[in-house]
Amino acid sequence: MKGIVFNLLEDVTTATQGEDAWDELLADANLHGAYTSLGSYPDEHFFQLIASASGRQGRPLEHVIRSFGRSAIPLLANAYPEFFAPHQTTKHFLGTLNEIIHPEVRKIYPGADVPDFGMVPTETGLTMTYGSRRRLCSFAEGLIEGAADHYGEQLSIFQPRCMNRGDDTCELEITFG
Amino acid sequence: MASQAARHLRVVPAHAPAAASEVERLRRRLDRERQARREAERIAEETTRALYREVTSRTRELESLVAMGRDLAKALDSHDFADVIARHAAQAVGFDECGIYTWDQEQDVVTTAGYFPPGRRADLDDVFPLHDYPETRQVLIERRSSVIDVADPDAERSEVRFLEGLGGKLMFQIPMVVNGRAIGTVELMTKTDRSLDAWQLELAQSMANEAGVMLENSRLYSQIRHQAFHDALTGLPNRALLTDRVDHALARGRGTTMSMVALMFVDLDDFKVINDTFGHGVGDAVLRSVAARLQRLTRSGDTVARLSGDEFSVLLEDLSGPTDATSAAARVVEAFEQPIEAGDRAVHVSVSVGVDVGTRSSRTPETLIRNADFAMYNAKRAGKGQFRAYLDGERQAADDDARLRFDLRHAAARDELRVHYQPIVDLRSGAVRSFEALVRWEHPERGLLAPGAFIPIAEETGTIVEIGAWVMAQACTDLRTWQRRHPDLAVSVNLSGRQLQDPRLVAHVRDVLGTTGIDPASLIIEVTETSLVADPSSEAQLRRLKDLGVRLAIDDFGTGYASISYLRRFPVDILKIDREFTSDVASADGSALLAGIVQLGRSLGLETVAEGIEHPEQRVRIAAILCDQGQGFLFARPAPRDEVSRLLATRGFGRLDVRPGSVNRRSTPPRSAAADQLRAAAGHTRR
Repeated sequence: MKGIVFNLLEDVTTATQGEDAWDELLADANLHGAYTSLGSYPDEHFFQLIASASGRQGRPLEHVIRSFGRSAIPLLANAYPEFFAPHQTTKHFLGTLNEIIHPEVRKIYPGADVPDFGMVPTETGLTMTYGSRRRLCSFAEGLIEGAADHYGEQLSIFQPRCMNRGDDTCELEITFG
Repeated sequence: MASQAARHLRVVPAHAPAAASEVERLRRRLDRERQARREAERIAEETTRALYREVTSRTRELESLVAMGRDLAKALDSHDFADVIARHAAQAVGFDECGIYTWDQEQDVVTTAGYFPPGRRADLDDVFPLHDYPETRQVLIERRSSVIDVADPDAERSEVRFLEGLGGKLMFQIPMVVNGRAIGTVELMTKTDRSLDAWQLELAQSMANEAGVMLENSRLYSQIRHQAFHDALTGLPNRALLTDRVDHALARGRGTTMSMVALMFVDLDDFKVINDTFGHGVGDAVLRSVAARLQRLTRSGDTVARLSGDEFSVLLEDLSGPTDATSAAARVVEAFEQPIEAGDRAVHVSVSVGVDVGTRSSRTPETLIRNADFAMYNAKRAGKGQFRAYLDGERQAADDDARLRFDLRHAAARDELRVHYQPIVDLRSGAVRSFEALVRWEHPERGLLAPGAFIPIAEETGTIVEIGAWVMAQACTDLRTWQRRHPDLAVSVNLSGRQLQDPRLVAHVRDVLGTTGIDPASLIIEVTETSLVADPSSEAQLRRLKDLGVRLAIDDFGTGYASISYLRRFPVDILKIDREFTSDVASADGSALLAGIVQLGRSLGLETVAEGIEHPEQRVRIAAILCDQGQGFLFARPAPRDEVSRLLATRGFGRLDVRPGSVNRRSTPPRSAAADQLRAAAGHTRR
């Protein structure tokens, strides 16, 4: 997993729970925590940190990951405004994931293992399929919610299928308004 | 890492426990940040270096490819581009040698297509069977590079022995992959202790693929070219390629006899019978055998081509003279006296051969081809199993003849035929008794043609029947016009042997007489002795004509058959004595002979006409022996209808007399001469 995800997690953790919270998570997971955005680190580190946060907060893993995603968006919008500025709506922004955002990610971080998204517009919104061996569909949900916050929109996500429930792919039905 | 940090932390003084834990936390954070910074720097440095390497190698790769492309563009027409690829591949990675090999999967071999350095090529085989080189086969099948090292402990490998043989230490075998398919290998060899970096290998692979595309395109191009210029059945060059070779052969020749070019057309006799009898399978087998036999008969530099169905051609170059060509043609004809193998049977096939030979100065490619074709056609006409050489000019003559035949069929329809009239004069009074109608052809390109130039052709082709009918109708129509003022005038019309055999003849003459309303006796039909004797049925035909009331004349009398008994059998009215007798009349014997003929005629109750009177003296002598009438340039040349009409209308016509010795107009143009003479005659009679 790319270092930038760890950096985001550190930033979100310190911003919401204070300076010491990150140290505590690292100590819990027995990790040194020297993550740089350019490096790549084992996925387990991420899951250990999340597990630790889940334990400390008393919230399910999925909730922790989801709120991490939602909180990460303002930071990303701040760091990479060029990806957000051209769009007026969440739906439009999400539409550029496969064609623009992820290819750019691969350029900056060679070897980045980004998920594949399928997009099918519906009457009320959008159905996205999510495919990644990491099964972090809840992270995707959080990021989508964060994007809606960014564009000042309301949405709800229903997930009829999920790899974590044994399906071969995750499906996110997004309804706007 | 965590335990190391912990050890490090033990040296922190513990005078203030709360502050101490805060310091410890800050130290840990500092340590973490330092580590992160160092790692970030390391990654950044590595990335930069990798990028630099990447850019450098890509740049070199591009430069190599561009340089190779430039050289390939120059090499394309000389077919040595595989050598160019080999050179560039070797130089791009700094190796000593490079071979380019193409793979024939069906034959299970690779063939050397190019090599660097080029001089080494001679040390190599051209074809390598892959059962001797199983690893090379694997490279091709699996489409992945392999490394051959002479230091390899398994020295029995044939690839290693091959490398040793070349004096190399290390060799990379790189497959050339085109559209996901290996078409051959690029093999880079070094004699020194060095290897290839990953990027060099990548570059070599790029060049190999590029080379593969080039070679594949070239192969497809050659294949298409071959199909376009060869006959599928025999594999021989086709007409297009032969034409090209003839072009080159003539252009190459220096125009001297030492560099003559000959072209043979070889046509199987009765090939259709073979096809019809044995079927097309055997027919095809025969054609293949013929192709093989012709190739065996010729030298390696000669071209044997198949032009169409059963027609072959052989181009012979660098001959020392025409006899080389004819003896080659004779050899071909003789060679086909032996039967041809066609599958499990032997078939006898003879060939007709036409040959033409020439140099750049005497032949264009087109004429050489057409002459050979013409000569072959002549050989065919002469019988089977023969050859003919083309004789200069014969095709032109035949072409002219053929053209005339063609044109003649349409001459009447195109209104190109004319009737000219030559007067026949009473030798005592000088009065015009009749006109002989003579056909002329106003050919759009060749001008006015006399009967001798086209009547023989018309006789041969049968067109004479229509032409003759037209002339007769025209002559009778004109006569009717003239008879309004000159009721005693007659017209004589020639009838050919072919017309005499035509069953429609009598009906036609009756129609013409009916339509024009002329007195049948004023139509004189002239036939030659020859046409009378040639066909026994002509007697009955003449009688039927005679029954119509027309008069009959024997034309050119005295030149045909010695027997004169037919004069009694046929209902003849007039004898036209051949000009030969007229021209001999000056001599005593000639005069006696002519007198005898006239006497014969008179005694049989026939009128006599002397043809070809040109001199006044002839006229005097002929009149003296009591010949009734005369015809010839002395009186008038044949003239067109309108000229005759004009004179008949404007002058007191009827007498056409010429004083002895007054004129000799043989040298004046025929058309105006007739008018002049008619005018002169008219003037004379008024005096």
